[in-house]
Amino acid sequence: MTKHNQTTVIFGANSRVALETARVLAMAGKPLLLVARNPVELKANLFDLRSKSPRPESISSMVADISDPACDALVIAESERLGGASCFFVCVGWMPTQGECDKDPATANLVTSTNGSDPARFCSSAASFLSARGSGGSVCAVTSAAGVRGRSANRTYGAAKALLMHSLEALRHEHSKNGVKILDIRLGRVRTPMTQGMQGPLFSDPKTVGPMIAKAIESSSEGAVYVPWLWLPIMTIIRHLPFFVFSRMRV
Amino acid sequence: METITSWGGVESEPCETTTLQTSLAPFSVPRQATPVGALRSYGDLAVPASGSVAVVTSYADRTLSFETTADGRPVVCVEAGASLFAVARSASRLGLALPVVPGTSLVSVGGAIANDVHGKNQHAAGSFGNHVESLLLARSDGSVLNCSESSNPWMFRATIGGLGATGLILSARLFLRPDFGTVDCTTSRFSSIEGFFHDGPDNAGEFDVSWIDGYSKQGSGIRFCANPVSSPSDPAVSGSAGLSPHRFEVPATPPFSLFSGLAGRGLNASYRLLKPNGRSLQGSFGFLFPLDSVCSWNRLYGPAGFCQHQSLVPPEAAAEGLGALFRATKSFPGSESALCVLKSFGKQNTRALLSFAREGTSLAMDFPGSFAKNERLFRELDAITFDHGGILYPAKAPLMSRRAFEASFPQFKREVWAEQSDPAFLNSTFLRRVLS
Repeated sequence: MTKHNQTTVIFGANSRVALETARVLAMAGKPLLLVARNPVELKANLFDLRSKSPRPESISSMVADISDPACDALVIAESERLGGASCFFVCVGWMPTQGECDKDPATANLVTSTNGSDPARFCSSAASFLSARGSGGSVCAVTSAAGVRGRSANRTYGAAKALLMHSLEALRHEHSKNGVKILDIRLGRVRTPMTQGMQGPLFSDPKTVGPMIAKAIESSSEGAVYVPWLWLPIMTIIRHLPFFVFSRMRV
Repeated sequence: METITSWGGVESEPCETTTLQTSLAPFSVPRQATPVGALRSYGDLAVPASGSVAVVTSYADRTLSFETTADGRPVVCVEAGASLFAVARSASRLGLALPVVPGTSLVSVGGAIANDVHGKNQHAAGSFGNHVESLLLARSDGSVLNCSESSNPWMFRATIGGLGATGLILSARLFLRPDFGTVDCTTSRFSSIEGFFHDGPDNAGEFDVSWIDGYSKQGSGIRFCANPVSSPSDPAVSGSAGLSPHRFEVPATPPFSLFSGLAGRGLNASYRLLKPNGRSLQGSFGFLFPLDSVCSWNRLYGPAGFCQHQSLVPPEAAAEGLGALFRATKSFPGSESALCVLKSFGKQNTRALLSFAREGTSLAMDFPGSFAKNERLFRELDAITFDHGGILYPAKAPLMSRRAFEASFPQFKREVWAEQSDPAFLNSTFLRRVLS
């Protein structure tokens, strides 16, 4: 914490993808603030990352729940206390099956808020803060290739991710002049606890995805990136398929 | 549904998989389960039999704490899916190291315990299980047992080297030793297997391993005896690459084996030429894990794969037995060993009920080609091993038979182990076969 505005804030630090990303950053000695809901897992992740970092003292954690709007100010204040954030990385997600969403409206609402409106709200708060601080920085959020086109298999989850993607694009529009970078990291299929039970090809491992995300965060790229990159051509094709073709596909 | 493939290329039928996500929350064990770690065992120890669910532990891989025991010994608490590489790297930041490591650091902690793996310092430090303070074991009845010498001691002894039969290892506390960045290695040559036993140095040092040219007539080779150098690691020797796991990855399986026939002969001959006699300082990672510099090296054996025969013959019959084993490979056309490693084991007490690490000398020989192709040779090698009172290593045996299993472990130990076992976990193809 010798330098200002160096910390990467990771919201949803207990997720598999976030942990693998954080490991890469930790090994490079980056200061991190881990934010997550479950304190037991958070403590274990904190220790694991500290054990891998050449500067263990530069990694800290705080418990917060993204569904609570009051957490935005608390997380930002904590990052300032630690010397200031260079990047807010939001990596939260929850994906029950479409059947579960259809059965219980409460589940559907929770999917929409957890994947969509809650991270969108936090990203907006973080971007406004960085913009007001005036020394640059970036806001990165993990979205999904599932948010690119509406599909029957995950209508609710896909729509929630689309909400976040749309919101990130709007933030980029809003902050394009004041040096705050907004990055939409669109994940393909990753083998994580969240996707357990899902079948199909093209799954990648969190251990390969983590370094790619870390690279995307560390580079000063903005806009939208697909991780792994293979999903860019795939989703470009799928996005431009005429509906009569798309509707015949079982994707 | 996925297919689980072991390091030696043994494939499972398509099976269900479930993931151990954390060692900190309860884990509901499937009705039939096979723990799957880093899949570095050569045979089918971690290959689920039909109907069995593969419990993948590789995502539960965190370092949970570094502590000091009441008597001042450092321990690390790690989840079962962590690789020894990750543990060693974290420990080295604190000036600590794992006391026993096998020839690759890419095995999981759970697998290292379940196979009671050994290292180049077995004669000085015993096997991996000797340095486990305690472990957490998930059983199919929903309980989580804390096993150590003082709590559930028999479960502890049955789980170390227990081949996954007693339950799912969630996490373990491992003793650590002071780190050493370099080793002082003395290289000497011997002209035959018998020569190894007669002309060897009196004091082998803490680490001792020998390489044998599988293409030589009498089994000539090179012996590496080394001691750790306690001074901080010399960057010129260990370099920054000392802590990186992979320097080269074999990107795909070539259409033919690069270790057979002339190519294998050439590789062995050049290895022999390139290793000079005498003393030298070497980086500890490079010395301890020579194979880790090439990732996925098993692919170099081509689509047919390879299999390894690792046996251990007790001291009184070692010279004769190992000589006979080596010469047996010459009696089959084209079945010279592409990589052959010899290691003396000392009289170190092991805690494990079923442990390969016993007093004697071990010979590990890699053969290109599938087990089906090498089966006659392996039957012959097994017979020679048992004739000399030797045993086989379950982690390396391609498809260990029930007879071989029973010949390798004393009956009373097998019975105590079986008493502690958990029926839900007796569902790897290995355990179903040897317990049938």
